[in-house]
Amino acid sequence: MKYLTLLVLCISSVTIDNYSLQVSNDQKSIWHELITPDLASSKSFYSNLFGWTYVDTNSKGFKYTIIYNQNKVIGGMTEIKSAQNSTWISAMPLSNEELNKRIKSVMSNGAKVVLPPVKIPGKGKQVVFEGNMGEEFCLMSTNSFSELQDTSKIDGNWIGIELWSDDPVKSSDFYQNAFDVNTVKSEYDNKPYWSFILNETTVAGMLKNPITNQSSQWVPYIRFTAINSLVSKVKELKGYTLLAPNQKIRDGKVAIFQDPSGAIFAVQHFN
Amino acid sequence: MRKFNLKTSKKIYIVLFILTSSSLFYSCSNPRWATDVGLNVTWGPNGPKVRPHVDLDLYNGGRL
Repeated sequence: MKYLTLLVLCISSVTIDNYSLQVSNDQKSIWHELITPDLASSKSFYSNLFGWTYVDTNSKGFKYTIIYNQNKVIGGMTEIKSAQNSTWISAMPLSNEELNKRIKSVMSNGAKVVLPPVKIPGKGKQVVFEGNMGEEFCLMSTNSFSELQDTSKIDGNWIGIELWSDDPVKSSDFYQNAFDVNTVKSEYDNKPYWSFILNETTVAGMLKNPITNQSSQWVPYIRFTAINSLVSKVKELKGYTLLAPNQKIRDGKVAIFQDPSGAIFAVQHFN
Repeated sequence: MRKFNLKTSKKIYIVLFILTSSSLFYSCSNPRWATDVGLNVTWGPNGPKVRPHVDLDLYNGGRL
């Protein structure tokens, strides 16, 4: 019984990761969710940094925190005390019919199931996968929270997601086949960059994984104007700056941070 | 030469089982931290963590 409990906790800790693309006609915005071993600390960090507020919910014993930016829903937080670190995981909300089709498509293209389909009270069905480069992403059924998500272009809201892949060519193949997107390669500052295109719209980006000591992962971007003010604030809040605004990189309009429990996110002054 | 009796053998198997299980559960946990141990390690709520390092020769993100 003790080992069964450990196994459940172990599986829970593996679910702490990443993302997916928007793919169908009934596509919704990517839903962002923080899995954290310390909910109180995470709430405090993001609240002080971006002014986010929260509402704790409890549906049939499942505790879930809704994140609000300027009084509008933008994501969620779940505490898993056994988690090694916090992680932003983004999920693609889909209708039940589309979800079942996409699960088959993703699996037939070689994705591994990290967390088999589970029905979570108040949230519906969700499945966590691992892509061919080990990056994790989630598919979920639309729910009352994801339906309310605000996507307006204001500070503190999401801009989008980017795959930092150890092998962008293999990742291109996987997402093209599994999600029916086109991949377009460009070059900026003599460095390659890939865009995932669906219906002539860029739904996500990709670059060669710049993190030298972590494997492939999806990284969310947050919109924020006063980006330079964040570095000292992050330090004060016990976070970590991976990349401070630097004129040589995107004209100093992008920064990469890690929250106190380890989740990586990028912030961009996006015109 | 000392011979192992059944009781001793059982103890050895138990210890081996525990060690193997520990290794298994550790490998089940988020693998991101199981890299370059000893480099830039900090302590988090659930143990030591390796600080990620961004290679600026590769990063050109935020083209969304």
